[in-house]
Amino acid sequence: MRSTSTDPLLSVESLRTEFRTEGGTVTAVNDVSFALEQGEVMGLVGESGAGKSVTATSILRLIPYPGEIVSGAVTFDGEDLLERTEKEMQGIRGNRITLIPQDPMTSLNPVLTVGRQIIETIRLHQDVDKAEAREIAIESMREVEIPDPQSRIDEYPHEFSGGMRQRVLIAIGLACEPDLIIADEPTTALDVTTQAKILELLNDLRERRGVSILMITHNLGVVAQTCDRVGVMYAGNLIETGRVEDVFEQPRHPYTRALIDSIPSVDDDLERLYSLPGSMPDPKALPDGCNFADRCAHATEECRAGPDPALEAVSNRSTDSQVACLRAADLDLSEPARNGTDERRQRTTTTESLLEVNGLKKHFSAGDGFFGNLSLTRTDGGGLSLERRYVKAVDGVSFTINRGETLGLVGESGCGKSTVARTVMQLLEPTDGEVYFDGHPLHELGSSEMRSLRQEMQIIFQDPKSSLNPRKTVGQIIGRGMKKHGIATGDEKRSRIEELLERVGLQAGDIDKYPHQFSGGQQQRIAIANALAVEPKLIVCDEPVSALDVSVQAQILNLLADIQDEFDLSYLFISHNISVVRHICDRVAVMYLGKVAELGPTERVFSPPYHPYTESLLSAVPHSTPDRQPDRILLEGTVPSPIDPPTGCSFHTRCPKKLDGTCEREEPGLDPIDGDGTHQISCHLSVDEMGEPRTETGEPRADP
Amino acid sequence: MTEEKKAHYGRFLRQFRRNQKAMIGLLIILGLVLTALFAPVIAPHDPEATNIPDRELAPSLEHPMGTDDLGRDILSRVMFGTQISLYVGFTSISAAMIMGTTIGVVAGYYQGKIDEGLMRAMDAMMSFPPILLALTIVAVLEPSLNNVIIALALVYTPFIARVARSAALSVRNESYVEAAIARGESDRYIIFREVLPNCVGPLLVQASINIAFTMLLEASLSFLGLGVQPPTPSWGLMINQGWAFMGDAPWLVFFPALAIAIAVIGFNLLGDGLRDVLDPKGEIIE
Amino acid sequence: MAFASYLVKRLGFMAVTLFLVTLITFGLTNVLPGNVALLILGPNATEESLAQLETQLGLNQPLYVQYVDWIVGLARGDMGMSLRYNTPVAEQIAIRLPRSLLLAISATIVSVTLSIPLGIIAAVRKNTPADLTASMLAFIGLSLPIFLWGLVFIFVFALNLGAFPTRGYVSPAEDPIAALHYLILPAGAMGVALTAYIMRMTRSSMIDELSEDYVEFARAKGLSEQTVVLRHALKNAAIPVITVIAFQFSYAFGGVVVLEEVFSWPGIGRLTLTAIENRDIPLLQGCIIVIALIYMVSNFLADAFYAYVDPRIRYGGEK
Repeated sequence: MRSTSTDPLLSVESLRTEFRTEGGTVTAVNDVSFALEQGEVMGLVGESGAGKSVTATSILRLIPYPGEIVSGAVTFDGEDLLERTEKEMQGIRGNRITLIPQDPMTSLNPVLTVGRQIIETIRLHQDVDKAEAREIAIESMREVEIPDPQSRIDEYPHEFSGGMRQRVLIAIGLACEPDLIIADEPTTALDVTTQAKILELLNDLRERRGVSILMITHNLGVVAQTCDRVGVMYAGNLIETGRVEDVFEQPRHPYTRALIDSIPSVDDDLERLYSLPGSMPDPKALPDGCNFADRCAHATEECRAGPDPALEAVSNRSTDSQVACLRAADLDLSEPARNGTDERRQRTTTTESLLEVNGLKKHFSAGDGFFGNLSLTRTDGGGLSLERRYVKAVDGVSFTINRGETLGLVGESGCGKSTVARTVMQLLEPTDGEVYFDGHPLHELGSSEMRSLRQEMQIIFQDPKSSLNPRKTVGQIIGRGMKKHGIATGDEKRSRIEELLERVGLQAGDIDKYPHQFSGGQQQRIAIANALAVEPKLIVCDEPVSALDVSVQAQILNLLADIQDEFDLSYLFISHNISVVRHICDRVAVMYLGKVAELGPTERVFSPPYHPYTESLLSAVPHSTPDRQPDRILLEGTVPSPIDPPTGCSFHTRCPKKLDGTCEREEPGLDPIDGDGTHQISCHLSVDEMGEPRTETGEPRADP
Repeated sequence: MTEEKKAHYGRFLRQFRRNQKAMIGLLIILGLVLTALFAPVIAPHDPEATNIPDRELAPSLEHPMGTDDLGRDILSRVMFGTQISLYVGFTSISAAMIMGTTIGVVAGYYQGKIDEGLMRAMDAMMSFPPILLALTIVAVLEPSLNNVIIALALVYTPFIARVARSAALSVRNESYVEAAIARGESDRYIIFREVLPNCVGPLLVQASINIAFTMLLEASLSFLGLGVQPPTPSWGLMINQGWAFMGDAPWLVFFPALAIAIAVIGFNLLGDGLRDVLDPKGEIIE
Repeated sequence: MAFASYLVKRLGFMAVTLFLVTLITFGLTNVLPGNVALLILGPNATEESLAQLETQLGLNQPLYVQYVDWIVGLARGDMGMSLRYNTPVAEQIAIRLPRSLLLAISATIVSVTLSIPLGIIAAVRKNTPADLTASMLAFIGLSLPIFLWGLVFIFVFALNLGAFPTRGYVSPAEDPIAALHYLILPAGAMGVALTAYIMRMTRSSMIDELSEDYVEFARAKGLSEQTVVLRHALKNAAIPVITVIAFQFSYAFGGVVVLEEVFSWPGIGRLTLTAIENRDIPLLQGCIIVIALIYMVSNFLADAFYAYVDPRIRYGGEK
């Protein structure tokens, strides 16, 4: 255990970590200094490539080849870790400093039971026998609220859901009663409702155990909900630190301000986002002076020369914030930044429908090939039988999209939202149901008719890198659709492509470049230009900003909003991110397990009365305002398998407002709940009951 | 080539040039190709001219690799043997590439029943050890150079089909293929313009390594007397004929064996190096 | 139940493959040029006796009838009569197969004991002289045809050192010591030839596993490098390696065709060559089918084994 002293538990001084790659030396962590007190939770936040994860692995001295800690000191409980031998470090890792890794799906060894993986850590660091270690392991599983730990300890990782695996990882981290936990993006791979539960657990543990946590995350909401202090990183530098309330209320660095303003809030709709131009500089070719200067609205000549600005205390008695900005003293960044107009978008939508979907179903064979979906099961009589099994990814979905309108499709992973998109576009053949596009029954069309109709409906994908053929130039990619559908050829085609590129914020000269020469955000711009090239009426946006950093995400969302107004487009906008959906959609459909739970105008869906699932989704979003008390509804259990969906209402297994009997037996219809019939909810509860706030505890209510 | 194209392929060429395995492999293959092309010019003797009094001569200045049991100059025979080896390797793998790529890409693109049927057939062909299948095919068709090529092409088709299928399958999952379908492209266009060009990397690697395998197999067939027929100077055949004299005149076996090893190493090195450059994590089926 | 489902599925695959294998075998052997009846009776046979024999052998029946007859026979273990030996094919194979199995199993044992440790060392010491040496040796190993390894072994150990006989076979039942003496060179030669593949596979699959997140996490738990490699990475890396070993074992049956010729080892490989030389179709069909069956069975066993090792298959798929 830790010796008592007044020094900070962990202090990192001028840490510098470099990677020597073929293309040159990358300074991933550049003179980073910070301190973490006993019992404190500190967040390290930044976009991808900022150096936050490398900082964490440097503390544990687990930098992979060809990385190397070049200089600095990491003082943990009075000892410099960089001076310790590898053997001594092994005694510290997993014992006094533990790591909660990012991806629960890949961080557990698939061929060892979870028990073995917890117990090996305990026996390594504590002098206990097997039986005692097992007891400790069960105890830590209980502490992280894994139900039935005595029997689950002997199960393999694949028998646990993602959230439960993350709990196992936390149990491993806790088992040896560490002084410091480094949590490296502990909820990034999880759905929002699961994330809410894990964050709740971490907050509890921290209160109970008084353990210090270094929280690495790209999500400012997570920081706001869990941390005492925060450090903001950019291109290897720590550019601002301070108490969470201070940093959110009065950021001192223009980048911090921009980061906060780029996030769409779950409360605002249709507001234009602040967007930071450009993207993070190439780590192999960092500019002179402040690395942020090129994107900064306040940069002067002075900022662009000399070394990186040093992290210095703000000359103000009321905070202990530190900032690395030459102009920190001159700037007042307490008001949100704006670029251009800050008005809400004025939306005018027609009531003329463009796309109409009725009772759409898509069932997949569970497993590949002829034998793949066979499953041997025991029949009631005790005999064996072979059954074919199907995943009911989309199981009866209906909605319409009007001309010029954006319909959002929101839900957690596996709810079937992307399958809806692909089935609507006839990229997948629907199992059942009707799809009318501009009056044409797509489900009845032959392949050649369908092909010519495809010009009018386009799709933008999540991963921009994957959506552009790496062997074609930007011009070839965008030009192909124009040629194919007879829109333009020759010189006219070329000038149109150049116009389009400029329209989406690229340069005409980019036409002959290959996709790999662009950043992720730029690639998504190319994908948008490609979709626009054939002059479609409908664009399906399948998680178009999920793979992008927040500052780039804001640019793309603004672009999508602008071109919608300009070209009178309709969008089917698919996202797991409620804030993004709320920001851009006119109407929204909430999906759960292949069905629509709630459908209606955005502002009505996201305010009472709610479907209980919508309500829990909304409450689970971590707000990026630290003073807002989280009042989360934590759903029990996990999403059931779409192979065997529950009877009755598919949400009844997890619903905090479940009515015993009815909900298990009868499937509710998607019924209108307001006068004009635009807001529909699929729930047995009365409108009043759906509007009621939950009971204080968040526990399921007693029977009505 | 435009500037942009150069920039596009430049990275590949730079890495290729920096990869020692690939460069050594390429040099060896270049040497083999030159030897094969100029064998009639540079070979010191007629490879088929027998000279019984000069038989089984040890290596000397006149015969750097010695002479065989019929007094033929081994160096000249090894040089002409290069022609046979390369001819067999290139032609049979070209044929196997055409068949295997077609089958594999079609299976990987269409998936489902077509995939299942084609791949089961490939599995069945791969259930026979390559040499057994090749032997049987050659025996059915009568041993000859062309029949060896036909047999090898058939034997290696499933190996290439498997690689082509897995490459096509992963390209099929890329969004740009979905985008092409969404644009209304025909299957033909998608297969040839979107999928195939992006499968070239793993296929090149597999082709290079399979040429090495065909050379080994051709040597084995000839060694068993079921490949190229005498008096054509094939390396495997030379070993077959020299084997009986190994105790007294090991050079009869040594030099053709060395030639086989060098040629096979050359193609294996190129394949390995290409794989390092194109896909550092990719696997091949061996 | 998931494990049983998995095995049932694999058996289903195997049945389909087996059906295709019999089709290929039958198809190939029935385009063999040469009139079988003529082969048996010799060039002086009369038209009449030829026709009579053809009827007797069923050669005048349509091909599909012949195929069905052959399959039905196979299912009963009847592979017909060998034209060369004039005894049942099944009997010939029953005598020869165990000898080849002895050779192939010994060779597999040699190669596995050599290749797995080498592969692990090469992966853990990636890009060091130890790795480069091991990888280079493996490279040379797979660049020589298998018969050349036989010749090299004969040249070095038999002709020059005189330590072992150059060729021949003694049954272990008769004289175990002498049998071993005769076995060492062919098994060693084949073992070395197979080592290269398994070593390369072990190395690359180990390198893949060592870059996985759970390995990184195991290190973060404070485990020593040895524990990380042997307890965590190896068990996962073994899964693809088992497939390669099974493949190599059956591949060894290709090797025996050549190597048995080199060492005059009277196994199923030489039997196959004899059948080809004598155009003994029933015998050839029998040999090919048996060798293909060995491939399928060893692959099935490998699948079953690794399904057992891998809990994701044993207890059902990912959730």
